[in-house]
Amino acid sequence: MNILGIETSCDETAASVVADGRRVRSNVVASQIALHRAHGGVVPELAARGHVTAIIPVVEAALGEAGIERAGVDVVAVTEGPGLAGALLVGVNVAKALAYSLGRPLVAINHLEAHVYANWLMLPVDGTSPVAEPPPAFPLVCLLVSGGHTELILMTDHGHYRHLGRTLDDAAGEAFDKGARLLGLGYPGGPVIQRVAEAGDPTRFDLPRAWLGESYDFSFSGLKTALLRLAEPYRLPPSLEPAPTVGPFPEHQAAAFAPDAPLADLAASYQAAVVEVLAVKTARAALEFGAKTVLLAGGVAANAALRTCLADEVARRCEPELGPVPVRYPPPALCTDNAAMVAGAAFYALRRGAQAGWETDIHPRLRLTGT
Amino acid sequence: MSTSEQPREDRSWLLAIDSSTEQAGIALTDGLRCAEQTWDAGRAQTTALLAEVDHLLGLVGIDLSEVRGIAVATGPGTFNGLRVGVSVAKGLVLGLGVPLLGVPTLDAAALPFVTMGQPVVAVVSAGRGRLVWAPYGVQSGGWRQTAPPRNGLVTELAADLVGRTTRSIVTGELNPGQEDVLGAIPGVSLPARILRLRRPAAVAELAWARFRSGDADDPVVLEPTYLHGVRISQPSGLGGDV
Ligand SMILES: [Zn+2]
Repeated sequence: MNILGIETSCDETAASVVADGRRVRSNVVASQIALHRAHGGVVPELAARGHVTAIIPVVEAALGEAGIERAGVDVVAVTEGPGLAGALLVGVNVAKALAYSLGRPLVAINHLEAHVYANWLMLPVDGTSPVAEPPPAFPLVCLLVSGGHTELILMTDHGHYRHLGRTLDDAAGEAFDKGARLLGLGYPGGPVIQRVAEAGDPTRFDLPRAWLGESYDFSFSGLKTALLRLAEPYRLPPSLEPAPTVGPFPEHQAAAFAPDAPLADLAASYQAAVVEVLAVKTARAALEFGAKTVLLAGGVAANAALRTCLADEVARRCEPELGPVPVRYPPPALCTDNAAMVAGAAFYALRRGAQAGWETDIHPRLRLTGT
Repeated sequence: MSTSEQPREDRSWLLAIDSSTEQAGIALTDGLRCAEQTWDAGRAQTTALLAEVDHLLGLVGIDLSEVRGIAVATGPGTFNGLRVGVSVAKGLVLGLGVPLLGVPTLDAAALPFVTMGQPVVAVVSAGRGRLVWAPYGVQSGGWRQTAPPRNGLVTELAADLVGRTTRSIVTGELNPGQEDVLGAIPGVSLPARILRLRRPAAVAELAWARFRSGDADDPVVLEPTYLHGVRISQPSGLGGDV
């Protein structure tokens, strides 16, 4: 069964064809990062406008790369939320009209669920058939971390979710964006902090960890205040600073630092503080609920420090009681927003009878709950 | 509706969509016959539009495969309203492989009055009490927009109308307060509200000649007319406000 997935919830226009929920036949993503970089963040109206002109070429490229005609699409799947309203509108209405005109079922997918299902996908290796990996075993704990989300999810079967925790303020990816902005490193923050941190000492600076007691919730807002305080002594005096970059966001001004400023150590210490709380809470949840698999999902799942730290914590905390618990994460191209994950999730949703009608709406504030 | 002289397999229909404002509409025409529907969709264009297209096709008794072209109102209007119509139109064009034709919303608003022998000022609501308007008149044998669209409050439209030397018909969606302001201007005639309602059949009518001549817009680049730029007010992370 070929499912065409469409994803426009934020700043990526994406379309993909996935066979039987797992085999990625094409995965096309048109990124607007360059457009939003000038503003230091995603501008919702610009994102929506971008989707309108990107959507047809992206869908056609996804069909072309998969080597199928329109008639070869068996199901159309689309992200219904959460996301930016103006952006979601484009994908949902295009997908509905496409499914309607092809006479095919439509499936509306929760973007958070789609991120989790990226872990079921198999990418072709060198154009040949993909390495067949067994699907993740239930029950599983999934840490979904990106610029928009930080969610800890318990999944006991397909479509059965329990929300264990979420961020109370900034998402993990947002924390990286803000940290990178404070250090004058650029946007998006996650990849640039990881790169700069490679040469740094993560133990040099002591940054706070918000444990919030036994809760599985997260908080990162105090961290950036602490980083600002630590970085302050190394900032150049205002008179020597170059004119700030013109940008609409108040924080979007390149910080100027003395040449001997320990930016790598600051970045490494900051990254370690974000990653440690994520990894420890995920491992704790895996132990409490007897997880057979631990999954990472979302753009921040591409962070190498998070992967290492999570693997260490899961081995240390879970293995003595549960035996080895595999920690899995999607390939980088499937961590960030894409439509393959939407098409993949739709396969399992359709098996549960989750077909959408022509009156399907967008759900900008959708959460992942229930069965 | 009379039965067609044409053999059934030759029937070729154009579907027109107008979701420029909260007053949404769809129409079907084969160049002679026309079916249309217009309703106050509020902000619910996404839930209503495709379901109503399906309903109208059923009402007229035609199959989707007989729809050989899609016309869509391109604005001005509200940004999200326009995006719904343009997105539905693009999805249909992708699925059916038929041509797409964009029609300026102000042209469609003006159409019913352009042959009345008086200049017309067509008005479209752009949301939050703002209006977009443009004058239409007969020039070198045909009717056309005689000045670029302007965008402002009803008081600015009133000032614009007071400055005109000729009598004008003002048409388009107005709220009662706006009607009071404009109706009081000497030389302005304001037709009955139901006659000023923008009609999707006008979108179909304006697209039909181009459609028959084989003309079409590039469906990739077709996008709503944005009469004002992007207001950048709040920062958000990579994931937006989700
Ligand atoms: Zn995402």
